[in-house]
Amino acid sequence: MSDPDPSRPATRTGPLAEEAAVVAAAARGDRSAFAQLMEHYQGACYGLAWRLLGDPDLAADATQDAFIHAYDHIGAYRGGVFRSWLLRITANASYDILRRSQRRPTTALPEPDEGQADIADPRAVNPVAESARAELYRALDAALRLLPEDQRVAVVLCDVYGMDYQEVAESIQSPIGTVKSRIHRGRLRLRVLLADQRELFEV
Amino acid sequence: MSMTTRAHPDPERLAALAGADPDVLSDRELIDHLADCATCDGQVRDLRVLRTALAELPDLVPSRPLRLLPPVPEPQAAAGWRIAFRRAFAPLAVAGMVLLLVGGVGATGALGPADAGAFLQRLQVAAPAAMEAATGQPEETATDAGMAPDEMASPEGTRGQTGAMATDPPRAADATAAPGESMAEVIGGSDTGRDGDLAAAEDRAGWILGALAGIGLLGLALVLRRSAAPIDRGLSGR
Repeated sequence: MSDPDPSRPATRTGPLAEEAAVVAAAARGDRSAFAQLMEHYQGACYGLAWRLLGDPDLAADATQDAFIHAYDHIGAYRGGVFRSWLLRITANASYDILRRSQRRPTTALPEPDEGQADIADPRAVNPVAESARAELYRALDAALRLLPEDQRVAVVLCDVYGMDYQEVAESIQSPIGTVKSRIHRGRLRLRVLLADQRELFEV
Repeated sequence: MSMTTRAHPDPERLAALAGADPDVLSDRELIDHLADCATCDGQVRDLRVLRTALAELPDLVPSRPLRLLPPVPEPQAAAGWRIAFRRAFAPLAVAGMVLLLVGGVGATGALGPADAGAFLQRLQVAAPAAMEAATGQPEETATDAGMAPDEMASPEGTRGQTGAMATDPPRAADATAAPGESMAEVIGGSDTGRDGDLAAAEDRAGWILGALAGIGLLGLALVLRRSAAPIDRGLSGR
């Protein structure tokens, strides 16, 4: 597994300006409006897919599948947070690929010099803090990849992307009790994995 | 019993508490334990910090450019006529082949020998009468009498033959050629023969037209097939 992103965005994508109007236009068949939405959220969708699948190419495939599904079903979108709707579609597409691939993602840690996430952005207000935060994100992603697949999927959907238990259960088609157990065990395991990097959390 | 001797709760419940799971938020025993157990309380704090950090994980830039839109679907109407064209290809091609085959055989084989036979038959019957009309004596009589050509040309012979011809009933009366039909008329076609030839020619023209129609249908089928070809490419590729 390789780090997919040498220039990862520092933050998460927020809502698009006048998003409701753009979504409504896309639902009416305005292809340029739909493209605008996908361009805006492709980083969020790809990030979710990559964290679920652990492979850049598979993640791109899953994101592409999600876009096509969203295009076909945007008429069924009934309001709410568009980002969450799109992320649920991406999660389903990723989980479909995960089940089809039937291969366990590699668990090797990324190379220390891989990517540029640990290089300070000179435009940042506090380059040192930004660099430390980037290092924390790298450590978190590396630890996530060390989780068993079922726990990783549940933790990513719930703790990283904010889905509630019910949404996670629907995405991975498992009982809520099973989902809760996987999330809790995943958190505990992550804590152990990151125990020797506690200083990263003090940023 | 002191708090320190109390058994620690299931770690999964601590993880659930860190996630603000409603099932454990109302668990007074768990809350009381955390108030007295620094180990468990520290574990919950760590888990909360971990969750906060996880929730801040940034988005990622895709590893390759993504197609933001699916390909433009082919208009339904266009797809409809393409499907209709594809479905029409086989019947048109078969019909064209049949017409071409039947028309071709009819124009070149079936009627040709028949017409030739009828033409020769009329020629055999009408030729003596035409010769008799031209020479003034039956051609067969002179031949059957074994007369030499110079004898036949003598005035007596000629007169005799002329007289005999004048008294004999016309031989052509029992033949298919009409009485008095000349060789030129037979060759060029008597009224009856010309009508027959015209009818045969019309029949032949019908067969030829049928064959031409078959060729036309085949061409149309091929044109339709070519017109419907893009939908095959569209379905096979993606």
